This record gives sequence, C-alpha cells and structure tokens, in this order.
Amino acid sequence: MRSMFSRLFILGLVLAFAFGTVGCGGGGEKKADTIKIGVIAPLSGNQASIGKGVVDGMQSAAKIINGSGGLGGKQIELIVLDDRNLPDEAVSAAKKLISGEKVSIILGSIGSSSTAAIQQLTMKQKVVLVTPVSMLPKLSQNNDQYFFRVTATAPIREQSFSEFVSKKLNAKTIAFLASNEDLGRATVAAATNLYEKSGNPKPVYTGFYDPGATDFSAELNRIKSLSPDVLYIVANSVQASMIVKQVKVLQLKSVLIGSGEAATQEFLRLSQGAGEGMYIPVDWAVSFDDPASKKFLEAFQKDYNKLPETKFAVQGWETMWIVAEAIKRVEGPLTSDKLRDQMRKTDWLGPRGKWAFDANGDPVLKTYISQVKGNDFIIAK
Amino acid sequence: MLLFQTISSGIVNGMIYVLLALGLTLTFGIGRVINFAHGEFYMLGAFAAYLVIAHLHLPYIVALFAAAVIIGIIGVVTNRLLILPVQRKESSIWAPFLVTLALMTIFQSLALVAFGPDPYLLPSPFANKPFNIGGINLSQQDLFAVFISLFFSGMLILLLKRTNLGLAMRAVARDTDAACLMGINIQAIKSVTFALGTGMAAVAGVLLIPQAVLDPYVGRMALLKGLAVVILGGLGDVYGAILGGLLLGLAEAFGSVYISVAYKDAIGYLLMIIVLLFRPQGIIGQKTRQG
Amino acid sequence: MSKGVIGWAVALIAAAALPFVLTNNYYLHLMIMIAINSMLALGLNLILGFVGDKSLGHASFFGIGAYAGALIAFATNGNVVYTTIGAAVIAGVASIAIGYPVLKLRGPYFAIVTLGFCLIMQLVASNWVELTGGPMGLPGIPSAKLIAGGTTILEGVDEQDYWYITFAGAALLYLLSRSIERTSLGRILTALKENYNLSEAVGINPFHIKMAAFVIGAAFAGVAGSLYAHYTGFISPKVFDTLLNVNIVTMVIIGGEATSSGPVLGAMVVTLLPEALRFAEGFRLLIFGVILLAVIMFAPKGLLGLVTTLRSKIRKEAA
Repeated sequence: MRSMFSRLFILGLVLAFAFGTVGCGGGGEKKADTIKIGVIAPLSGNQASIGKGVVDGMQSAAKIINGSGGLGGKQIELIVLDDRNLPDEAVSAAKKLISGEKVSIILGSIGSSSTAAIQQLTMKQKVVLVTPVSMLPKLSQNNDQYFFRVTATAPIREQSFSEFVSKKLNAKTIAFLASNEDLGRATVAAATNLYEKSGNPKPVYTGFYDPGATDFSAELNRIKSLSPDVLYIVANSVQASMIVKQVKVLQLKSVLIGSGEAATQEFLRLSQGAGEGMYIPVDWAVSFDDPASKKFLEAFQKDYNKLPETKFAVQGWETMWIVAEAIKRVEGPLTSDKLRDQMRKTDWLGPRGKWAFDANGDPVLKTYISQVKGNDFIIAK
Repeated sequence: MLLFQTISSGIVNGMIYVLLALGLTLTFGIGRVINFAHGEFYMLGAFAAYLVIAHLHLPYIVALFAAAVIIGIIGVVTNRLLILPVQRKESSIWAPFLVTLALMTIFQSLALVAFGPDPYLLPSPFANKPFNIGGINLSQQDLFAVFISLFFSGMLILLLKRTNLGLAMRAVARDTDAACLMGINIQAIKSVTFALGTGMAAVAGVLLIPQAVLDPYVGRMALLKGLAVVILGGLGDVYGAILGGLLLGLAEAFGSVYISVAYKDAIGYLLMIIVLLFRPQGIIGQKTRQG
Repeated sequence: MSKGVIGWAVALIAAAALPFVLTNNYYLHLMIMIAINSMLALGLNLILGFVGDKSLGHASFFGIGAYAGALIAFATNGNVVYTTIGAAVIAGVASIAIGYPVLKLRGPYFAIVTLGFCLIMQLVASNWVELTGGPMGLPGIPSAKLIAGGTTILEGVDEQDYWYITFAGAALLYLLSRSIERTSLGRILTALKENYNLSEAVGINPFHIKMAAFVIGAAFAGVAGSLYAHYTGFISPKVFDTLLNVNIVTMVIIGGEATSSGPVLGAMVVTLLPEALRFAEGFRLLIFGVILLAVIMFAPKGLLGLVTTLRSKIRKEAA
C-alpha cells in the first residue's frame, strides 16, 4: 500500500515534466506582429514526400508575401506540424494549433483520414480548414461552412475525362486498377456512374490494391486475359510509374489512361518512358507558361534549385496565396467568420487557373486532357 | 494461358518471398531474434547500392555484393552493441525483439534525414525488361532475383549441413548451453548469423527495389511478407522458408486472379491461421522452446 | 488499507480538478489520449504481462471496438452505455474467434499471428464499404450521451467532459485490472507464466485461463475504441495501423509489465513524448526511437522497475 503515494508522486512528476516540455516546444518567443497560420502535413511516414511538396510550395509563397511587406504590415508565420499520416496525430496537432497557438485557420492535411478527423474538430470550433490535397467527396458534403478545398473532387474531374474516354477513345470495355483509398474509391465510383449514363465503356474489372503495394502482377495478369480496350490506372505518380512499367513487361495492349495525380515530373522520371502514349487529365504541368505559372516556377526554383517534382508544390503555393488574399481583404481583427466570408469571395488567378469556391467550398477547375509524349505532357486536342 | 501465367507469376513471386524470408528465419533460428528491423536492413541495403552506383559509378552486380557486405557489417555491429547485451541479461527472446522494434523507427528516421522523403530509382540492367517464353511474360529482373534466391537457398543449406561452421550454427540453434559446453563461441556464431541475415535482407532490397521505388518506408511490406512466409513454413527452418514462400506466392496469385484481389495481402495471413490450426509449429518447423 | 483509500481520494480530486488547472484544451486532449491509451495498455498487459506471450495485434480489438461503438452510436444516437458495452462484447467475441486458433501457439508465433489478424481486420474495414465506409471512414459519429427514458441527461461536448468520461473508464479498468492481479485468477495466470506444465498438472486448464485473460484484454481495448470513436467523431481503417500495435506493446514494456501501474506510466510516456519532441522537427522520431532503445537497454523491467530498483538501492545505502 505504501506504493500508492509514491506511484501518484511519480505519475505527477512525469506529467509535470512532460507538460513543461510540451509547452516549451510550442510557444517560444511571442512575436506580436505576425499572423499565425497552422499547417498540418505528413513530414514523416509513407506520405512524407507529398507532405514535403505541399509545405515547400506554401513556404515559397509565404516568403514572397512576407518579402513584399506581409499582410497589412504583418508577417505570415507558418506553424508546420507533422501528423505522420495518422488521424490521431493530426487531431493532436490540430488541438495544439487551435488551443495552444490560437490560430483561426489551418491548412491541411494530406491523407483524407487525417483531414476528416481534423474537420470534426474545426467544424465544432469554427476554425477555417483549407485542404490542399484531400479529395474525399464527403469533406465538402457535411455542411461545414468553414471548409475549403484547393483541389478538384473526383466527380468534377471525371466529368470531362469520361466524355473523352467514351467519345474520343470510343472505348467499349474498361478495367480499373485503383488504390484502395479515397482517391481510388471516389474516382472509380464517379467514373462508373458517368460511363453508365453515356452507355460506354463497360467496366469489366475493378481491382483495388494496397496503397503500399509494389507488385501488381496478379491484377495485371487477370486484366490481360480480359483484354479491355482501356486500362484506367488510378494512382499517385509513384505507383502509377510502377504499374506502367509492369504493364509493359506483361505486354498488355490496352490503351492506358491515368488519374490526374500522375501528371507530374516525378511520373516521367520514375516511369522511364513506360508511360508513353498514356492519357492523363492535367490541370497543371511544369510546361505551362502563363504568367502565374511562370511566377510560381521562378520562385520555386529560386528557393529549392529544382523544378517541382509533383503538383503538390503548386497546390501548396496556391493554397497559401488564396488564403493570404482572403486575409488581406479582412477588415479589422482576424476572426474565423470574417476569414470564411472572404474565402467565399475568392477570385484569384493561379497557375491552375481562376480560383473561386462554390457553396460547399469546392473549387471550379478547368482540366485539360494530356498525352505522355517523350518527356512531356502534350495537351490532346 | 491465364493459368500458366498465373502459375509462373506465383512461383516467381514465391521465390522472391523466399529471399525476403531467408534472413529472417536464420536470425530467428540461430540468433533467437525476431528481427523487426529486417525491412529496414532491406531498405538500407538498397540505399547502399544506390550510393555505390550513383557516386562510385560501379556496375549493378558489384553494388549488389557491396550492399550485402556493408549491411552485413552494420548488422554485426548492431548485434554486438545492442542485441547481445540485452540477450545476455535475460534468456527471453523478447528483449532483443524490442530492440529491433526501436531500431525500426531509428533506421527509418535516419534514412529520412539522410535521403529525404522523395522516391529514388535504383537502376538495374535487368529492370523492366520483358522475358517471354511460350506466351508467358516475366521480367528479367524478377528472374534474376529468382536465380539469386535459389542460389542463396542452396548455399545456405550446404553451409548448414556440410560445413563445420554450419554444424556449430545448428548446435547453437538446438541448444545454446550444450553448444557452449562443447566449446563453441556462441557470440561469434551469433554475429556470423546476424551478418548473414542482414546481408541477405540487403540483397533482397537490391534485387526487388529496381522494380519499385526506393524511399525510407519500403521496409514495411518486405517485413510483413517475410514474416508471413517464415511463420507459414516454420520459424528457423530454411526448407520451411522455401516451401512457405512458394505456397504464399502461388496462393496470392491464384487467390487474387480467381477469387478476389481485394484481400490479396490478407491471403498469406489467412493461410497462416489455417495452417497453424493444424500445425502450430508451421509446415515443417520443429517445436520451438517456450520464449 | 486506509492509506490506499487516501491515495485514491487524492487521485480522484486531482482528476476532477485537472480541467481547471489545465486550461489549455490541447493539454487536456493529451490527458484524454493518455486515458484511452491506458485502457489499451492495461488490456494488453493482462495478456502480455500475465500470460507471458506478447500480442502484436492488440489494435485489432481497439479497431473492432471503434467500429462497433461507432455503428451502435449511429443507431442509438450515441448512448454511451450501449456503445461501450456493445463494443466490449463485440471485441470480446472477436477475440474468442481468433483466440481459439491463436492461443494454442506460443512465443513468436502468437505475436506474429495476432499481428496478421490485425492486418486482416484492416483489409476488412477497407473493403466492406457498405458497413464501414471503406477507406473513406465514418465521419460524424454522435458524441457520448447518457440517455435515460428517452431524454439525454449528460452529453460529452468538449474536452472537459471527455476527460471525465475517459478518466472514469480508465480508472474503472485499472481497478478491475488490479483486482484480477490480486485475486486467485491473477495468481493462476502468474503460475501459468512461470510454469506451464505445473499448472497443467494441478488440474487448471491453461487454455481456458489464457482465453479468459485474452477476452478481458480485448474487451478493455473495445471500450477504449468506442470512447475514441465518440471523442474524435471520425474513424477509418487507420485505427488498425501497425504502428498502433507497436505503440501499445511499447507502452506496456516501457512502463513495466505485470503490474497495473506500469502500463499507465507507459501510456503517459508514449503519448506525451512524441508531442513533447515536436520542437526537434525532422529529428523528432529519431530521438523518440533512441529514447525507447535506451529504456529497453538500461531498464529491462520498464520505468517502474527502474524506480523500484533505484529506491531499494538508495535505501540500502542509507541503512
């Protein structure tokens, strides 16, 4: 029994020490004249490369904005927290940002599970949540007035692409090879729905693979035996590159199409030419030469000495700018409500085009259909 | 046609799984360590080969051996500094297991700090080149991996059954105390075992990564597949690993082609549970001693 | 005994006062996560600490509990009595199903097959879209409510409420775990751990005893899962993440196994350390891993064991 007190004492000591450290880690010196913007992204774990791309783009944008005097004389202070692509770490990070740092806006996260978990909190606490990447359609369908998404959802993206597949490619049969996460599930559902309406193509096979998979032989063997007109690869650029290489080895003859995630420099680098001829909807590529794209590319290359490997950097860049423009328009002290109202009035021209949000917080984005030719994405007419 | 393609893909994948499992089964059978950092040695091996190819401009085959040696040395050092000390304190297999659990996080974080999160390509002269025979399409890289896998399995069996070192290793595996009494240097044997185990993990990495990409987190899949094979066949048995690997490869290929692809990665574990229902020590494993 | 009562009184008052001391909700959130993780660690401790075999798949029962709790919450508008009991029962039943083949195994086989079971559960959660929402998860899980006669008496709204709810849950399971530790079941479990053959010889069916520990441990995890689902309002197949399995084992080992306080201490360390290390940015997990390694190497009986050893050393020197 003697141990009860000492145990309590030890527990108390551990807690006091830990909270001391937790507090030290967050605060640091207080800068009065900054606008704090919380960022949650995976900087370690299996989505770290995506998280890094997004944060790189955001920091590039913040640097330029701060360099030209900040927002109404105040500098932007990005507080970037890692969530390891785990929902419970994302929730902890969000609580730290909201309760500890008192931010009124959070940019994040990447994995849809993390974003959905954060949203349960931001919705209740009335904090503006802007996700640069998460595609999960449900995020914008639960009446969260404070939610915005700087990326197109699957149904929006499939609209023009499905028309291309059924009219231009005139495909009769199609096979899906899709990642078993929101990207794959939502895209396949949206595409199947649209194909049904237009009468063709008919889906003959749907395979969802583990997001960590590297071997697709079982799926591709089956697809080859069905010889569909078109094979739709719904994957990020890393897995899309592995799949197209294995398709080539198997000598599968279907026309390849891919989701927009694969329209990246990373895909071209990793696929080593195996993606030649593949059709991919693209909303942005490094070859875009409009003034907004040039501005982004210049800033990014200056900061990181290389071309952006994926589109995630441009998504981070645009997220930062859209939010900054909205904050600029807020009169008086920054509150979530005022910020939300100004986000709704977004009218900004970025590398991917004109940005505006609908009532759900989803953007209206124009996509082009491109074809992989050599080391580039050529816009298909 | 689909049938033959499925069988050959299954066998090829099975032999690749054997490659993942050999090191794991060896470190358990003789070193008595369930090495949860096996996937990280696999990842570090591929990075070592990458550095050798990209910075020393040496050919792929040389990089393969270099990676095995480098990681083998890292393995021995790890074993000496971190695993043997806790193994000596306690007779349990759990303390070393926990060390490898912590090493998993440490190696991943080190690789992240050193190489960043973006994926690398590990170049290989065989990667993504088709090999066609009688209408069956396989990749040259895969066939090369199968060849190496067969080679290593054969060498390992010869080593264990035909050499004095192998005899000593088997003695340590059977009964450490008795082996010690017979004058066998237990620590040296365990170090050799760990070098072989981690070196083989590195070889697997260098052989399999060219078909995929390289980042600090590729070890997870390698570990999970390796564990499934090892448990299926029976921990610590080379023949068991071969049988388990082939069984898993074929079951995955047939299961996902003819039943459902959605549960492809569960097939190994479902099979494992079914096998263990009837044979709690794996297909050919001997009864292991209580932890 | 009276000292123990005073100890409990102090603990209860401290817990009740905590939300007034920790005004930052982030800290309170971490306390809630400690309570939830403590329930997980206590449950695993029953299996791991008392039976001697380590389960690497304890997150399967957390996940099953989370999904069961969430689905019951949708059906009952978040009646916390139904969700927790339902989650505990369903997790317990699942543990019998997997326990039957698995508990005959020993050592590493047991550890790895339980891990495999967790991977299978994750795939089920990802692929059974109609029930679980698949990888898109289940958002908008109703908050925990105490409902009597059709009217809501109490509802968990903010961190303060959930701290009381989760603390109550953790304290209850802690008491339960301690009484198991002290009663004959605990003694049998320990006997089982020390000498498998002996317990067989004196006529105890070791399989039944193991199964009992396994089911109770799984039910603990089920309760933790359902409270987690209420609290965060969103779950996805990530609740079955391999990392969580590793974390739960780490909590028990780091804290000190085979005692009920050890797992709680471990839950604190494993919950707080990664958050406290956020200042280290890119080196956060590296430092975390090194600290874990140091504890494993230098405190083989966990932090609690280390404290006990140090204390007895100090006493010896003083005497």
